[in-house]
Amino acid sequence: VSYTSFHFLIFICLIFCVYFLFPSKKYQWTVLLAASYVFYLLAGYRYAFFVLFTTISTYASAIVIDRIAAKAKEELKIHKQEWDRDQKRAFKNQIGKKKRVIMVCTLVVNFGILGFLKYFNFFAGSLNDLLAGSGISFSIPTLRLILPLGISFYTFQSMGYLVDVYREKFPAERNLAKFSLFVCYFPQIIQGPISFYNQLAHQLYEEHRFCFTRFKHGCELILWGFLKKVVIADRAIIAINVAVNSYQRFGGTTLFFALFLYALQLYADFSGGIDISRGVSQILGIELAQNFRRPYFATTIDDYWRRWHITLGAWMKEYVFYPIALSKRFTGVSKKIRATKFGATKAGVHLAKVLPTSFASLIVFLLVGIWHGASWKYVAFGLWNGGVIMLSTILEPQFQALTSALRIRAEALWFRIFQIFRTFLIVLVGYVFDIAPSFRSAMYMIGKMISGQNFTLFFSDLNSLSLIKYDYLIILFGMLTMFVVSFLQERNSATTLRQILDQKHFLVRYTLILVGILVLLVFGIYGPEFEPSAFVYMQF
Amino acid sequence: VKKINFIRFLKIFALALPVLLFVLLSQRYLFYFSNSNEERILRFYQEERDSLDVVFLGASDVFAGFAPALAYEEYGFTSYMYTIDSNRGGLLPYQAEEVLKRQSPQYIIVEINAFLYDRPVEKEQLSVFVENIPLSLNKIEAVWRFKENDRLLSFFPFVIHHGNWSDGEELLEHLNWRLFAANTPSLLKGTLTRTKVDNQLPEDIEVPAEERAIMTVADDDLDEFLRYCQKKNLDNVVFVRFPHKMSDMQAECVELIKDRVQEYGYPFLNLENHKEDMGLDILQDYYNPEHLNIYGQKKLTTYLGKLLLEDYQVRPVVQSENNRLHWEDCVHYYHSYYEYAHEHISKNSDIVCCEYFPEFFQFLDWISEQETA
Repeated sequence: VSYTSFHFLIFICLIFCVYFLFPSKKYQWTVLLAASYVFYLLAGYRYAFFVLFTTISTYASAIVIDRIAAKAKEELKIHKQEWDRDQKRAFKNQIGKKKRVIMVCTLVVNFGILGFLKYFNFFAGSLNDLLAGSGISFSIPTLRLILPLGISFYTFQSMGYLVDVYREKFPAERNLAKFSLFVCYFPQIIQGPISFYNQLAHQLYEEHRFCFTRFKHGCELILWGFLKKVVIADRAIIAINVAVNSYQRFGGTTLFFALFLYALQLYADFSGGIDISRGVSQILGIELAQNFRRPYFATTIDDYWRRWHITLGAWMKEYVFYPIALSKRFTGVSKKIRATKFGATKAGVHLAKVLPTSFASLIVFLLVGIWHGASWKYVAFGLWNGGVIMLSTILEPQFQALTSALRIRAEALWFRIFQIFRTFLIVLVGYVFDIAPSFRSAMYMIGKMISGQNFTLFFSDLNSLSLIKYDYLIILFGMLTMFVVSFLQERNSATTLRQILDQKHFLVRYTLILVGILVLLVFGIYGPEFEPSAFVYMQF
Repeated sequence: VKKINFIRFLKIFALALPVLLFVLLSQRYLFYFSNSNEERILRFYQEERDSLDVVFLGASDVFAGFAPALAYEEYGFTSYMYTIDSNRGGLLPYQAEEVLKRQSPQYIIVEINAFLYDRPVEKEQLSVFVENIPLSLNKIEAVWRFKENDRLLSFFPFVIHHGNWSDGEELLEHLNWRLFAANTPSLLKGTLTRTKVDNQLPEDIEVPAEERAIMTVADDDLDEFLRYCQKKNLDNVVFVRFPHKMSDMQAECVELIKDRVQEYGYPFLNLENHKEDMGLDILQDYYNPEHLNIYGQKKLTTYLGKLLLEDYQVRPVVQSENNRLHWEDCVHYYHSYYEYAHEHISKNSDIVCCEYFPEFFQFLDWISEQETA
C-alpha cells in the first residue's frame, strides 16, 4: 500500500473512523496496532516474520536488562551498609557486563539480519571481484534475498529503545502489544521519521479525542505532502531517470540539470512522504518528530546534516557519534596530542580538541553512506560528506583567518548567500554518488559536468528527457512555491506556516486549499496511465 | 457546539462540492479518451428511442464499409454502427445488451471480424466501451469481467485521463465538441474513411508472420455470443463477412464461423462472394487491404442496403417529424463528407474522415464555403 495510492486514502479514512469511534478509549491504541499490522501484511506477508522477530527479541532483551538493573538496585540497597566502594563498583561492573552482553547480542542479531539481507550480496560481489582480480577461481554465490519493508527504520528505532533501556533512561515496556505498536506504527514504518521511545511511545498509548483543528492541520499537511510528492517529485524523476540511465548520451550541462532536479526531487519526495506520515499522525493526535528544516538553506555541510533527515542524524549522534567520540580510545588521542610539543601550539590545541569528534563524524557518515545502500558509490557518498565535515572542522581556524584577512563580515547577507550556494554545491557533489548507477559512472558524470558544459546541446537535450515544456513549467512553479514556503518558514521559524495561514481570512485559506487540491488532481502523476514511483527512502 | 459542528460541516462540504463538481464536469468535458470510436458509442445514446431499423455490431470493417445516411437516402431505413476499432468478440454480448436497451431494431448485423482474432479484450477497446456507456448492471458486469485491476477507475475516468491537460488546443476542441456536438445525434452514424486508394494487388501484399499467427477463430467468444442471442431469443441477428482485398487469407476461419453460426440457426452472409455483384474494383475501392474506401463504401452500402430490403424484408419504421428532418440532414451531411473525401483522394492527401476527426473544424469551414458558393 503506497502512501500515494487511492487505497491508502481509504485505509486511513477507515482507521480514523474506527480509532475515534472506538468504545474503549483506554484500548484505543489497539486500533493503531491492528492497523499497523494490516498495513504491513498488505505490503507483503513474508516481511511480517522479520518485524515480529525484531519486536519480540528487543522486547525480551529490554525486559531482561531492566530486571537485571532492578535486581541490582535492590541488591545494592540491601548491601548498602556492608559493601565498601570497591565492592559496589565491582558489583556494578558485573551487572553492567551482564546487561551489555544481552544488549550487544540483541544488537548483533538484529543489525546482523539487516546487514545480511541488505549487504550480503554487495560484500559477496565485491569479494568475488577481488578474488577474480587476484586470479583465484573461487566465488561466493549471491542469494535472492528479500528486503523487508522499512527494515532499516524499525531496526534503528527498536535498537535505540534497547540502548536507552540499557542506559536506564526509562524502564522497559512490559506490554508486548504496546511495544509492537511502537516498532511498527504504520505512518512511519516505511520511511521514518525514526522516533525515540520517550518521545513517541506515550503518545501512541494515550487517549485521543477527535479535534477539528488537528484534523484540519493534518489534512493540510497531507495535501502539501501529496503536492510535493505527486506533482513535483514524481514528475522530476522521469527526466532524472532518462538522464541517469543513459548518462553517456548527455552533455555536462544536462547532467548538471538532472543533478539539480534530483536535489529538488529527493527533497520533495522524502519530505512529502514525511509530511503525509506526520499529517496522518497529527489527525490521530500523535506528533511525529520533524525530519527536515529547510536543508537547502544550510550555510555549512554540518548545518545541512542538522536540517536533513534530522531523526537519522539524531539517532546517529545519540547511539554512534557520542559513544565513539567519548570512548577512551578517542579521548586518549586528544591527550596524546596535548602531551606532544605540537600539542602546546595553537594548532595543536585545536587539533587535540577537534580530532576525535572529526574522526567520529567521518565514521558516522561512512555508516550513513552504507545505510543508504549496498554499493561502493554509497561508501563514497558517506566519505565525501564525512570528509568535508572533518576537513572543515580541522581547518576552521584557517578559514576564519582567511575570512578576517579578506575583511568579510560573517553576518553579511551576501556572504550568507555565498555560503548557502557553496554548501548546496557540496551537497550536489554528494548526490552524484546517489544517482549514478555505480561509483565509476559517478566519477564519469562529475568529469563530464566539469569539462563538458554545452548550453546549445542542453536545450536540445531537454526534449529527450521525456518531459514536455509544460512539465518543466510545473516543476519550475513547484520549485518556486517550495522556495517561497521554505523562505517564509526560515524567516518565521517560531510559528508554522499553518499558524500563519490560520490567521488569514477564511476565503484566503479556502482558495489556497481548493487550488492545492485541484492542482494535485490535474497535474499529479497518478492513475494507470502513469507509472507512480516509490518513495526514494523506502528502499533504504 | 452544534452550531460550530454545523459550520465545520458546511466548510468541508463547501470544499468537497467544487472538487467533486470539477472532477465530474472535467471528466465529461475535458479529460476523456477521445477518438471516433468514443464518439460512435457515446452518440448512440442520442438516437431517438426505437428509431433504428438496423444496428451493426463489429469492428472497423463495418464503419469503413457502410454509410447509414446513404442507405437511408436510397432505401429509407435507418441504421447505426455500434462498433469499435479492433473490437473483440468478448465484448459483443455486452454491446448487444446496450443496443437492446434503447432500440428494437429489425436486424442486428454482426460483422464477424471481432471473432477472427483470438485475443483477449484489450484495454483500449474496453475503455472506449465502458467509459462511454451509462451506468448500469451491464457496465458493471463488463468492467468486472474484463478488468483485472483498477476496476473502480472505469467509473471515474478522470483518474485515467487527467493527464490530457497537456494537450492544450485539443482540450478546447474537446470542450467545444462535448458542449456543441456530443449531445446531439450523430450525422454520419459512425461512418469513417481514409482518403486513400490502395492500388496493390492482393498477391503483392505481405502479411507479417505474427499477424497470420493470431488469425484463429475466437471460439469461446463466438459460442458465448451465440448462446447470448439464443438466451435473449434474438431471431433477428444476421452474421456477415464484409469484403476484404485478400479474401482467401481468412477464408478457412470464415467458413468455420459460418458453420458454427448456422449450427445455432442464424443466417450467415459472406459478402466476400458478392464482390463482383457489387462491382468492387480491387485497385480503386480500398484504402488498405482490410478496409473499403469512400468509393467501396458507397458500392457496399448500395448493395447491402438493397439486399436487406429485398432478401431480409427490412421495412423502414415511420419516423417522427423531427427524426425525419434529422435523417435528411444526415443525407446532406453525408454528401458533403463524400465530396470532401473525394477531393482529398484526388489531391493525394491522406486524412481520416469521420464526424469527429482532427480536421473536423476545417471540414465545417469547407462545408460553409461550399454552401456559400
